[in-house]
Amino acid sequence: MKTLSFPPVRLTFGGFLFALAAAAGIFYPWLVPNDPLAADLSLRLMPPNPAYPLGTDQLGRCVFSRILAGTRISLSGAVAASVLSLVLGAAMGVCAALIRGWVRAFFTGLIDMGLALPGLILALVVSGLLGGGFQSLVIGLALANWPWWARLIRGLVSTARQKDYVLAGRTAGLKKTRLLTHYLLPQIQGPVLAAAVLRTGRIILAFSSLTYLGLGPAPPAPEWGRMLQEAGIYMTRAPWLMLAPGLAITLVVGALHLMGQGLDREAP
Amino acid sequence: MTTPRENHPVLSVQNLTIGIPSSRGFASVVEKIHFSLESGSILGIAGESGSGKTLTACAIAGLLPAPLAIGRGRVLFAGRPAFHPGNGSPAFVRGKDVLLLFQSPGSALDPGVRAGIQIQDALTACLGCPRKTARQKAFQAMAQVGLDDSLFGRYPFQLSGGQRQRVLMAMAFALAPRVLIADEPTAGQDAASRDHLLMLLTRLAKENRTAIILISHDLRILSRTVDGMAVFHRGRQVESGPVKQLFTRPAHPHTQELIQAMQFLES
Amino acid sequence: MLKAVLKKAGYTAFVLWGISLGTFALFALAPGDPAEVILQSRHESPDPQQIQALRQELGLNDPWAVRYCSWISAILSGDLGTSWQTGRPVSDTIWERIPATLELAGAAFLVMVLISCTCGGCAAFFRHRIPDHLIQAATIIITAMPAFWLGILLMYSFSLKFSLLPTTGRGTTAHLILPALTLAAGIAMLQASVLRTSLLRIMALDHIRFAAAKGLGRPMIFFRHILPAALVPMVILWGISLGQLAGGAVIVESVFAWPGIGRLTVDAVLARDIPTAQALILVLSFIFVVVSTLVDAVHRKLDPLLGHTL
Repeated sequence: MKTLSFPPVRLTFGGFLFALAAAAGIFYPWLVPNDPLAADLSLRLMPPNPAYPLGTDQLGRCVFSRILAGTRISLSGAVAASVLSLVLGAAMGVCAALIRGWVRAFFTGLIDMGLALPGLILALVVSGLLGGGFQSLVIGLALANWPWWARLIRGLVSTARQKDYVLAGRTAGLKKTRLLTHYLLPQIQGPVLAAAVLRTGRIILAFSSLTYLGLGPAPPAPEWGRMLQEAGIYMTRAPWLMLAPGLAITLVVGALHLMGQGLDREAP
Repeated sequence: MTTPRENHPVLSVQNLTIGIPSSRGFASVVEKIHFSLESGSILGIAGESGSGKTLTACAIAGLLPAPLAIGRGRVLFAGRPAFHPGNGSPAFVRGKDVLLLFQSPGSALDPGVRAGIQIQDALTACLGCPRKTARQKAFQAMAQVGLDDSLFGRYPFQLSGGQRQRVLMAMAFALAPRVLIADEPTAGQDAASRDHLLMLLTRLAKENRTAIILISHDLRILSRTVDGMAVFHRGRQVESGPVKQLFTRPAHPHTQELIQAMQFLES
Repeated sequence: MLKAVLKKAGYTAFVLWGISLGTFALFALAPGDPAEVILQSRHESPDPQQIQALRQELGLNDPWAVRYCSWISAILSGDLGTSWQTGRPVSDTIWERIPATLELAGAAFLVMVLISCTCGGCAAFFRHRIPDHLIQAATIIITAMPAFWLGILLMYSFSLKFSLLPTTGRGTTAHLILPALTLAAGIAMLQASVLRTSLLRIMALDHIRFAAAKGLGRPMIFFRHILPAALVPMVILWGISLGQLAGGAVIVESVFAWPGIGRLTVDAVLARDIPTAQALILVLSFIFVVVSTLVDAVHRKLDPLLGHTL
């Protein structure tokens, strides 16, 4: 157990798990024992058995296959939202950190406004307004997360630009863009990477929360959150249905958390 | 506890070895330290950085940081073993019997607690004084070391280095321990503060009969204040004796080096 | 001092104004025609003339500045709009449902403080021994779990299988236990982790050793020196957690059918009840901006006192 506190172990273990999940998401059509969307009411609510490793749901669909298929939706949605929020937030954060005058005040004000509301509620409302499908979910989550990124990157860039070697670069007359790409960005990429991994985990949780509530890709799409919501209805008759989607989410998010902790070199 | 304490030196360190116990044996860092101390006398421990002075002080006070431990040898307090044989816990009362003043007052004082309260706490804990009495005594102690009453409520970061050192001295006066170990009390201070501190230490020894161990790498300070002296070099005690004897007829080469360095600075 | 307070108040007002603008823009720009939605919700299949008539009536064809101003003036006079679902004033519904959410959030806050202090303290006290490892493993698992899954599992175990606690809805204190626990668990474990780190760092500081040197007993060292220093970052975390609890309440209220405003928001969004959703966003933002300003002020007050160590 003592070795768990050694960063490379966490990183490797988490990375391995995540790679498994990503592989499932990409290659699921070749991996699934049954068609995730094939419904057969005569087979409904079966407990786990050899033909259906995790049993069947209320419409007779193979739970295991649906879990594998759902990996693509969750991972692609979360990664897309993560990247979008990172890019948008980074742009805002860099502007707020580097550009002087009223521009800085403007961007700072925007960031503060964005931080005012808890992200999940904002994502909920935006996704709902945009129609509630997969894309609106991604956009909603991106809009909910960019202020956090903006604040983080603003802080990192502000600290980084005061370092001595950056000042040296500025005195030498380097162009602003070169300063940015060659001096500032390399300094902040470590913490940003660790934060990005951790944040993606949280976005997966938010994504499945919103699909649990009813947003996101419409049924019969095999999204984990929605599968859990459906499983909740059949809690008394088929309790095993509750386990698989929740475990899937926990494993993927846990893998990302481990990776993020492993990347964060400052953790004691 | 019927042993008449006047027959024994209040502190006796016999063949003390400090090191790290491991499966492959005992890796000693400080070896064969041997000296004793009478009430009211001041012993100086001199030596360069890393010679084991602070470790010895921590060992005597029972505050060696893990994984260091006392190996062979023993420490006697008032004629009796200072540490219980089983678990090594002190048989004396910290603060009241043996008080160790750390090297830098900046790290010894809690930045988040007011200076006066830290003195007061020591009194409440060690002497069992009720809070009001402890507070009064704390003010008295502050007056004895020359700190103004108004500084009682100050936080350590609001005090100068010299003032912080005097707060520690106030604790020493308030507690009046049998043995006081002052580790580099004058480091980084101007001459006036230094003199004042040494004067306070001398007073403590005279008035309260406190046995004092004064650790310093500065021989000038030791030469003026202490009765006896021990010279440490690389974890060993290379020479000891009355201070006059050490200065006029130093036996060990390292002692001679230290004296020469002091004289060079003074000339 | 007064100048700083005024400046901060002015900035806060500015942020709130910006939020109102943003909220208005968000809902105004959303796809879909509100008039059409209203008519459809009345189970009528609307023709273009009806839609246009309703649009005129609702003022949807006015220029945006006018619409914004009339909306803002309505808000400021207390009229938060009328729900498209129920036809009742939104302010009434919000007023009715806020106590439930406050109750849940309050209980969750207490549970969170309790769990974070106990787990963080235990983990630090038993550092590197079994309790510490258990707590750290539990932290990884619980923080990776979606809150609604934790809720469902708890509900299944305690309500259905063992019939210890009620399943859903609000009523007695027993009803409060599972939802509060679900809401608090993830956040509390993360805070426990921070407390553990904080305590370990402080316990290694020199002045703690000196406190022992001058004769203080272990309990006194803990309560006078270790605990206050460790609590300062915790208080800040606890302040920030109020926002996290609110976000989580949305989910937990849905899982446990808790009649609070989190659930109200979800229902409003799913039913495309724009006035309710709009008003809720505004009200919630307002509350959070005020709360975070207060948290900031508390942090600033605690900071100069202990700012030197931390």
